[in-house]
Amino acid sequence: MSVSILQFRQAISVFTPICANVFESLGLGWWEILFHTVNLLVLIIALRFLLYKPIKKLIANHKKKMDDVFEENKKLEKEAVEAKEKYDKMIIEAKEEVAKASVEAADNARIKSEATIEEAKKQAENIIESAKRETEAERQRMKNDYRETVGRLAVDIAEKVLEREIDKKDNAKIIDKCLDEWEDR
Amino acid sequence: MNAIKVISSDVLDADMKRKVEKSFRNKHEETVQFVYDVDPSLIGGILVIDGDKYYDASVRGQLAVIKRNLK
Repeated sequence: MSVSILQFRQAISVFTPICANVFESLGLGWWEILFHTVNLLVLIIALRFLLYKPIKKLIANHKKKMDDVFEENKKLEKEAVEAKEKYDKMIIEAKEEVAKASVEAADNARIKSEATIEEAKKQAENIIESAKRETEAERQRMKNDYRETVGRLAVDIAEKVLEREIDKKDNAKIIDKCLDEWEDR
Repeated sequence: MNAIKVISSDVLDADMKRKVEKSFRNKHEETVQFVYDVDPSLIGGILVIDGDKYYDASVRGQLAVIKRNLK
């Protein structure tokens, strides 16, 4: 340590004359240098208090605002991402719901159409069955009418024939027969 | 005296009248009177109306029964 101080003193002793020569060549005395140095220090201190600190504070505030804005942006971005994910999820769910509803609607339509076809078949069968019954009834009625007509015609013919063919002998036989039957009544 | 009306398609001879009267007289205790009439539309046989009883053995009656049965 003592060596360093010694070296410092030696350096001072070397540079001091040099500096003195330089200042003398520039026309500056020790008091002027001291004055300008103090003046410079005062200026620095004044600038520090009057300009540097407010600007630093202003920059800090500005940085804080920027940080808040960035933070707000991050928050909004996060919310936007969440909203987008939620929206995508809702779209997927909606598509699934639509697909499910479409399948259900198709199933319902198929079931309804099958029921309608079945009902139409039943109605057609009923109509055919009814038509068959009506046809059979009509056929039976016509058959009966035909039988009655033929029977009446046969009776009428028989009546005409009997009017011509029955003689006294036949008539006597008829009367005898009915008198025998009436005996028991 | 009760009257029995006998209708025939042709005039009955005496023998036939006797048979008819014998047959119906047995159904009555009291004396009855027979009234004869001719209706050719009967075709054959006889129709006897005995009070409220109706004996139809005419051909027209039999044909009418057949016609009714055809319905």
